[in-house]
Amino acid sequence: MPATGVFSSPRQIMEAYAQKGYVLDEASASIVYVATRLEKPLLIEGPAGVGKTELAKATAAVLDLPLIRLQCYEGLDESKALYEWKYGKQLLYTQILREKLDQILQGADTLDQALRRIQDQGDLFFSEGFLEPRPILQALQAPDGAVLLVDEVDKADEEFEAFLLEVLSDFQVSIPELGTLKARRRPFVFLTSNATREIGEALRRRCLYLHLPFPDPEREMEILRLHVPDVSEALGRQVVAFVKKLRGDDLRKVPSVSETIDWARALVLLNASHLDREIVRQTLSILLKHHEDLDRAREDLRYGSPV
Amino acid sequence: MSTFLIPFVHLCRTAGLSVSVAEALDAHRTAVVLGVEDRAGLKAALGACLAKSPREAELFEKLFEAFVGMYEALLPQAEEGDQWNPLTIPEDITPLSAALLKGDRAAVLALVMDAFQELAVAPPPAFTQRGAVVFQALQRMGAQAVAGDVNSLMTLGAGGARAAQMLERRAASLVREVKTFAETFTRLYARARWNQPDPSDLADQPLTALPEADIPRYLAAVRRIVRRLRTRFGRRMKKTRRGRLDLKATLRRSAAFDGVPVEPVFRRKKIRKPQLVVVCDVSRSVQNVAAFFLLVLHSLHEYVKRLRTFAFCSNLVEITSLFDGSDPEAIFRRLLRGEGIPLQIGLTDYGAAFRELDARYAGVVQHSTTLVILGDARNNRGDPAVDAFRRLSQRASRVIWLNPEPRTLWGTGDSEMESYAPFCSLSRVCNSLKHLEELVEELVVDG
Repeated sequence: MPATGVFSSPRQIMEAYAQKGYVLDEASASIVYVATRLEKPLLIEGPAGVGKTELAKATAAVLDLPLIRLQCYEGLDESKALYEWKYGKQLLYTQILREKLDQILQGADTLDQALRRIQDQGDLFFSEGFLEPRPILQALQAPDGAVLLVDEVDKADEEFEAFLLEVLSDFQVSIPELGTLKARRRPFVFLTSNATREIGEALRRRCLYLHLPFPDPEREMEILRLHVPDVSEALGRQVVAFVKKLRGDDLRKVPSVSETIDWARALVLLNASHLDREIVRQTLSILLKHHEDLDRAREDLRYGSPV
Repeated sequence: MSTFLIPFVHLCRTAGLSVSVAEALDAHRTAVVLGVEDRAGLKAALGACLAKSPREAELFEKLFEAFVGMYEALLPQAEEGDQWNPLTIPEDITPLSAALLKGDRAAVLALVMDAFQELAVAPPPAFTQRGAVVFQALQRMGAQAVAGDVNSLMTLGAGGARAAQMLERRAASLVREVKTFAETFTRLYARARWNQPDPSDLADQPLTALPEADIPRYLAAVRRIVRRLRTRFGRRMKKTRRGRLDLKATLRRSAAFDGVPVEPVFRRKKIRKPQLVVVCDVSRSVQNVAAFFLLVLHSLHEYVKRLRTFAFCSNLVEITSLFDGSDPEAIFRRLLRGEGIPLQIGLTDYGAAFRELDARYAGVVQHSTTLVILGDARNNRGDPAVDAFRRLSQRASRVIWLNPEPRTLWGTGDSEMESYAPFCSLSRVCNSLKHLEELVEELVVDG
């Protein structure tokens, strides 16, 4: 019962995403289209700040599905990603239900008999009511499907990667006390990676692969138009060109797409009609967040024009 | 559709992309879902199925362009001269002849694709066997029957004779096209195979004499080595996490629970990560080996507790910070070019390097460090400063000397290997990827 056929063509995807404020190029749109049609997880790699996470968010918005996010980090394990028993609740309930239990056990002469009576009650404390679903289980249980975002999968350990393999190929998980839980509807899965660690071959195999580079000036201009409608064409082009130049420099952290948007917004608020040295100097800290980078860019500004 | 995908996937594999059966199936489904009209979209989507890293994507791009371009060259160009179509085409002629007579290029292309599909799946043809490939392909397409069709058309009067002439002409031009196609086809496969790194023979090649053009292949081999070592180290780490029950600790903890051992405590095997100080000679003769050694070591930095790197030629500088956060392969290239290393150009001076390490970086080498020297010990007849080296050796827990020269050359000419060797816990030849793999494993495991 997967939600296929939501999109009819890559072109339609581009339009639908643009409406939600996300600009996709044709190639990426084709890949997203195929990923949704084949129901394959999509592994997105690219430098920080190109909008990998945003793509997943936009997908959730377009499909009107809940976005369930699993942020990976070193030491992430199944109990954080999949499910946990609500120990506290279990304990509390055994206390509250003590009298009831006493009733049940009343008249049981032997230990054997008592045990059998308890067994007749079923696995009370290991039922779904005591299950705390974590992101992956939540995504599998979502009644209308969901968008599952496994963010920065490269930060997790290799064991976790192996665990993901199982989930991503069958879309089911086994909980020893309950049995196997199957996805009601296959979630759309997005994995993002900044390539701090090589992702294993096996995981790559199970995913489609999308490499998102920084957008080219044309596309970034389109993004600006969408998010900062007040920006004039001329200023927008200057902003995009300047940011592109910064990304080419050897900086500690290059400006991301969202920082470009912030900067353009700030410039509009300051009523700047074009970039000049002074205004760039004043607002540069919106783009660059490291002291060294700022110093360097300011130094460059002294000798060259901003655009 | 698969007529085009099967040979393409085969080509990808020949070129070194590891495409699994499941991925090939994904590619097939992709092509079905997307259709072939949107070429750019199809390329992107097939790439998403078959190439799963930026490196692979780059290779995929080349392969796709070459492969699809080859077929596109067969698509209708302006049909030469004769626009005349025979009104009636006899039913008993072969499909190929019919397609040629109708000028149906799509049908001809389908036949060519079919013919070459089987050829591609069979062992890829060698470049020298082009003639045989053309012959086989034409046969698969049914070209041998065209002559018969020409003859039978001749018997059908004036219209038939004209049709026969046209068929003959078009068949001849088809043969020419198939020849060009076969040439591109075999060359494509030959080049793909040629470019594929062969890990077995690279491992034993001396690194000192390394042609610049081969570096990408070596880097690919290094990547494999790193991956292999990482699995091995990873397994080791995991094993050490399990241990026997620690009875004392369990009892101690049980005190909190009225003596009931609620939480068993397990002994952990301690993982000792080595602390390494690496001193590399980066003069011409050793540069390559040094760069590869540092590349492997820094790619595995998470298994090393502390890693400090020094480079020297006529003076000694610390280059540890060079490796902070950057891509090890980018550093590798910079090392080969000597970029970002503030060294003076001059004769290699081991004596000066050891004196400096002993005096200026006194705190670096401690009782827990493993000192690794990489160099040929050729000191240009200068003062070897054995004293300084001895002091370093006394302070370090281990001293390992890696020499890119074969053992027989140690101590010959201006080599000071014999003077240094007594103060080394281990001295080894290190001049190939295989040596590197063994050494790095030893360094990390015995840390």
